[in-house]
Amino acid sequence: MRRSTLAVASLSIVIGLVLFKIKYAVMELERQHTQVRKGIQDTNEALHVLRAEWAHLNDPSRLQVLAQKYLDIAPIASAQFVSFDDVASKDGGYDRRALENLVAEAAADMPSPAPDAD
Amino acid sequence: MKRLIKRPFISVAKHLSLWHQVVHHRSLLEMARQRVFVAGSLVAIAYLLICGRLIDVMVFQGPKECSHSNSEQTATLARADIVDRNGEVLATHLVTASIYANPKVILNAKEAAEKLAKVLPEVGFEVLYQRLSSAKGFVWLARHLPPKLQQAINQLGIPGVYLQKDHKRVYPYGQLAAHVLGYCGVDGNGLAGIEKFFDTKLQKTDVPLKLSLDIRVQHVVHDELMKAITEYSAVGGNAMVMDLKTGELLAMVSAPGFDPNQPGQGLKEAAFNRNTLGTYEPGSTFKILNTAIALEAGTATVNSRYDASHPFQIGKFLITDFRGKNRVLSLAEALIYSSNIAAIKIAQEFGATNQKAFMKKFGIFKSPSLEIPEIGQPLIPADWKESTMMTASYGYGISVTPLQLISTVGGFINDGIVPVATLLFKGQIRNIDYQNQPRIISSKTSQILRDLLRMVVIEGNAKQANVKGYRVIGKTGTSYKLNKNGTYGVEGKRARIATFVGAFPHQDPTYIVLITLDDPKPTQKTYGFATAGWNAAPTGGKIIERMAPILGIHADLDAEDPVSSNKWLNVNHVVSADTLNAP
Repeated sequence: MRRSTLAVASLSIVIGLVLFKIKYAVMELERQHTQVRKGIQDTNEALHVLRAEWAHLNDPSRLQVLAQKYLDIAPIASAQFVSFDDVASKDGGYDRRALENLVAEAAADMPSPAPDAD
Repeated sequence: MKRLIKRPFISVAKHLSLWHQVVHHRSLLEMARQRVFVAGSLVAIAYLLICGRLIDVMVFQGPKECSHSNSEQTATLARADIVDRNGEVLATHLVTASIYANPKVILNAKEAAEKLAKVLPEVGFEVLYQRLSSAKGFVWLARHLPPKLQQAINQLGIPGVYLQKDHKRVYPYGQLAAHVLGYCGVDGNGLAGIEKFFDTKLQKTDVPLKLSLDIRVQHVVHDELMKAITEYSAVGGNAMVMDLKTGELLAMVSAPGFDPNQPGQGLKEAAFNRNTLGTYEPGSTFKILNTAIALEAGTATVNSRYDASHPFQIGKFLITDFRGKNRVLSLAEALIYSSNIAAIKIAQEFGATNQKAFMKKFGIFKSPSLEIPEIGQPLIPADWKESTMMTASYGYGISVTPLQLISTVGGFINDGIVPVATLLFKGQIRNIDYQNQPRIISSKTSQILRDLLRMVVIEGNAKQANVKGYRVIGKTGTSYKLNKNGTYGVEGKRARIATFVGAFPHQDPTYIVLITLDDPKPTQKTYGFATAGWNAAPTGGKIIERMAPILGIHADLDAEDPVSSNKWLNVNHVVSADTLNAP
C-alpha cells in the first residue's frame, strides 16, 4: 500500500515536470511557426509583386518595340521550318550537308529585320 | 464544566454504539457496499469518457492544424490569379493598404481632414471632411495606397484613422486581354468577363485559373487589329482565333479597348465585347451556309447552274453583285465569286422552310455558351417570309454574333462537327472524342466546302488572305451597317461591316481566325475599295502569317496545292444564259 502510493506520487511529479517542459517547448514551436508563416506570407507577397512585374516587363507590345530597336533579328518565318525527312540520312542519323544547305537556303529566303521605328 | 466536557464523549459513544450496530447489521452493510460500488463505477466511467475523448482529440484528430492558424489563413486568402495557357500571369493581386476612419473617435474632424488632405490631395479636403464628420462608425478614406503614402499617414498619427491591409487586382498586360478578363470593383469583386463569371471560384481558392488564351497569339491579333483599324480609319473591330480541334479560343480582342487596371473611365462603350455581345449582319460569309444547305438538302450539286447575268428584284430593292461576273455561275462559282443573285436563286430551290430548319441546326438561332457573362443573342426575324429567305441567303436580315459565326463556320470545315467554344485551358489532349458531338453537315459536304473556301482564297475575294505555305481557306463578307433607326443610310455614305473568316491548313484545318472591321474607309492602297477583301482579308492573312510560326506549325512551301482550279471553275462556259433561262 505504501509502496504504490509512493510510486504514484513520484510518477505524477515526473509527469508534471515532463508536461511543464512540453508546454514550454510547444510555446516555443508555436512562436517559430508563426514566424515561419509570416515569412512565407511575406515571400508570397513579394513573389506576387515580382510575377506581376515580370509579366508587365514581358508585355509583348513592349518587347516588340524593344526588339525592333535593339535587336538584329526578325520573328520566326515559315521558311525556317523544315521537316525531319529533309535532313534525315539513310543510316538513321542526319545528313549534315543537307542541313547546312537548308540553313543557307532559309537564310537567303529570310525577310530582313524590320527597320528601326525611329 | 464537567458536564460540558462530558457531553461530546457521550455523543461520540452514542454514535460509536450506533456504528457498532450498523457494522454488525448485515443488510445495512450490504447496502453501503452497493452504494460505494455504484458511485465508484460512475466516477470510473467519467474518467474513461475523458480518456477516450483525449485519445480521440490527440490521436485521431491530431494532425489537424490548430484553429487559430486556420482563421489567419482565410483572412489573407486573396483572389486567385488568372493565367494563360502557358502560365503567364494575366491577372494577379498586390498587397496594398487602405485607410479608414471611425468618425465617432475623431476629435476634430476639420483638423484631421486638413492634415489628411495634404497627404491625399486626390481625395481632397471637402470629401475627407464630409466623411470624417459623418455620424457613421466606419468610413473609407482612401483605398489601395502605395507604401510611401501609408508611412506618411502613419506619421500623422491621427486617432481614429486606421490602416488596413488590402488587395488590389492588377492586370500586368493592361488592355491586351481586357474584354476576356473583365475587371474588378474596388472591393475585389468581379464585375465583367471571366472575373465575373468565375467570381465565387476565384474568391474561394488560390489555385490559378488557367485560360485557353495564348498571350503571344493574343498580342499578334491585337497588334494587327489595331494596325488595321488605324490604317483603314475604322471605328472599331474585333478578332478571334479558335483551335478547331478543342474549341479553345487562343485569342479574343475587341476594339476600342479599356484598361482593366483603371475601370470606370469611359467604360460603358469600351467594355463592350464585340465578339460575343455585338450582333452584326454577316453579309457574304453567310453564303457558306447557303451553299451548305443546298448541298445537304440535296437541291443542288456543285455543278448546278444559276443565271447571275441580271440583277434580282426583291420588292423595291434591286440586288446586284459586287464586281459580278454577269454570267451563268455554278454553285461552286457562286460561292467563290460571292454572287448575291445566285445566292437568292440557290435559296429559292430549297425554300424558306428548309432554310429555317437548317439555320436552326447550324446554331444560328441561339448563341453558344461561353465562360463570360457578356453573351448576346442573335436577331432573328419573327416571321420567316419569302423575302427573309432571300436576304438571309446572302447574309442580310439576320444579325449574329461573331462568336456564332466562327463556331458555325468552324463546324463546317471541322468535318461537320461544331467545336464547343471555350475560354478555359483543356489540357494537352489534342484530339477530343467527337463521337458524341452532334454533326451539322456530312463529312462529304465539309470536304467540298473546304475545297471551295480554298478556291475563294485562290480565285475569289479573299486572295489577300493567302499565306505562302499555309494554304489558307476562308471567306470574306461585307455588309452595310444598320443605323440606330434601322436603315442603312444614304447611298454612297453607308458605313460597312467587313468580315473575314479563315482557317488553315486547307486539308486539316487546325486554327480558325475571324476578323471584323467596323466602318473601314477606302484608302489609296486599296484603290478606293472598302470591302472585306481589301481590309479584313489581308489583316487575317497577316495574323495567320505571324501566329503560325509561334504555334510551331510547319509550312508546306513546296507541295502542290491539292485543289485544282479547273475542277471548280468555268465548268459551264458552254452554257449561255439564254439556254438556261429557256423554258
